[in-house]
Amino acid sequence: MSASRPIQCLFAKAKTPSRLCPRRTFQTGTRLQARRTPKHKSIKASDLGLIKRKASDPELTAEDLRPYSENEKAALAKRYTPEQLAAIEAGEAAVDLNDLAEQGTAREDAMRLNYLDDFSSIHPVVDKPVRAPEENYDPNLRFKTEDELAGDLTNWVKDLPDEPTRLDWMKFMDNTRLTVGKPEAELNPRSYLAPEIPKLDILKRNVTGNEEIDPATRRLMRQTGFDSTDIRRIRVKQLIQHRVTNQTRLGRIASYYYLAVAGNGKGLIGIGEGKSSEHEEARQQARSAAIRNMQPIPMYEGRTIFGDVKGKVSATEVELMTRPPGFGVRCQSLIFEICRCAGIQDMAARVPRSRNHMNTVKATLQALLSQRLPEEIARARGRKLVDVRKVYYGGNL
Amino acid sequence: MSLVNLAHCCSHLQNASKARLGLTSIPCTTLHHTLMLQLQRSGYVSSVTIGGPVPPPPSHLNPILDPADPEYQYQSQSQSSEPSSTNTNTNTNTDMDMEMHTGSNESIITQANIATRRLWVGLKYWNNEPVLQKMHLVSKPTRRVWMGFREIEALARGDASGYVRGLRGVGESMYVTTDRGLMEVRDCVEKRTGGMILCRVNGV
Repeated sequence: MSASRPIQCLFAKAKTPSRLCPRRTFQTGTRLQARRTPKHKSIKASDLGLIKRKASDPELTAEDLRPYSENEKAALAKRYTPEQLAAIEAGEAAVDLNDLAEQGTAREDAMRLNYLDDFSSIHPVVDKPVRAPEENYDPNLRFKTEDELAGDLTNWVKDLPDEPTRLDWMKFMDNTRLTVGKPEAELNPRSYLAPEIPKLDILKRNVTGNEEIDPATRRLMRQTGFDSTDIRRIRVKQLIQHRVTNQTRLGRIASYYYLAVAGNGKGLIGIGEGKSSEHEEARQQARSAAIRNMQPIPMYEGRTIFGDVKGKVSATEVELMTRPPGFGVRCQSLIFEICRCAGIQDMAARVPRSRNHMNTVKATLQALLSQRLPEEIARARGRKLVDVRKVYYGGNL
Repeated sequence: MSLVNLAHCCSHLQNASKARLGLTSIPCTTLHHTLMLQLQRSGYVSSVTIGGPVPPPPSHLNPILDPADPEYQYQSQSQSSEPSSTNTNTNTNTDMDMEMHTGSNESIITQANIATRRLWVGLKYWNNEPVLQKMHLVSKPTRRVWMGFREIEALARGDASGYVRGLRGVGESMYVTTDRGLMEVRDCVEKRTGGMILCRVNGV
């Protein structure tokens, strides 16, 4: 093989005629040779009178084309200075009336916007943000050292007029740069952050001042950091209530025990107990404690638990079993209520031993919290774990 | 194949994990050794080393550490200082030190030392929790559980087969001894082979 062979290979393509073989056709019918010319000319819909002007669109009338009257000028003079008024009049005179008649009308074409906008301002949400150019970035930008700053100050003092005013100091504070490098890198830096969204009145929560918040809720708000609306949205269920007695030397002292479960339906769950001689007091205690004790539990795909788990409190053992989508929560009422508060949709449970209500609730929470995440196990064992469901269906589950 | 000793070994590893030990020893048998190597392959234990009655030097546990490395020198010194404080016989102490520093043939089993060999297993912890939390026998000394490929496949899928519950916990493993060696249940399914179910790790 000669040394020139690879060069030949390289130029082989250029040597061969480009259209040696006919172009492959992708359809069985005859190919169109040229662009089809219609037999009849197209007529615009507007020419046929099919498009009607919307009532909302402003129409240019003869009223808009006339110059300002004396009354209008007097009204303008109240608002603008004579110089501004002269500029307005000069601007009005510069505009050709024909241009105004042709271009100052609302668009009628199909691509017109269905809203009115003067495009003079940039809306932070709707419009594409205007960013400083990338050239403003300076990789060698650094803060000035103390010596350099001191130098700036001495220069300023040197150049001070005989009678310095406070304005001079303010100018110095505003105009002195703190960095060394491109000036625009400090003054107008390139930012990839989304522009700040202005505070919109419509997004404000309509909290009326005269809304009554009871002291218990107020205390909860302080303790948990939740809003009163957040607390109202939390699902609280009283699961257990019974009378308990304490035997003292004075006799039996009765009080009422309440156990409540609270959850936001998105993985936060907590249980709380309350005990008091009054029903209402005990119920309120349990509710507050439940909301205060809320903590997150892991949920697989936001619907079930990670693997089977067990919880044990005293002689009560609870086995929770993960289930496929659509299975539902098939378990006893107490565990069902907990699942409903937590937002679990598919689960099965078994309480094989003692079925004490209080311990069942506590053991269920313990089991839910004892879930182990696959990522954690993968890190702990140093092995790769993959969710096969996500691998097979491209994660579209 | 003594399942009694294997049961003791399982309990010991659980206890050692609960006590947060970094290194522990179990009797050195072929079954234990192959099972520990499988556990290491699954990531439950950090190191498996055959050694004598004293813990092997760090260079034997971690092949990355080189005796020429200054860190190794430091570690071996700190290790050897422990027995010297307890041991009154200076002669044996220096012998032991010599043995450790030279990285002697601790892991080579001979007829002379076979009775004193131990299997030194390094335990792992993550987030203050042991990686190996539970380890139980499935086959018992009085009832061995043998399974074919189809039944083992069901186990790996999470279904129960016979009296054995399926692998339904997150990160649960089961080890099977087959005619093609001791392996994990999922390897069994891959190789389409059955065998005797030995033990279950981190079960529900």
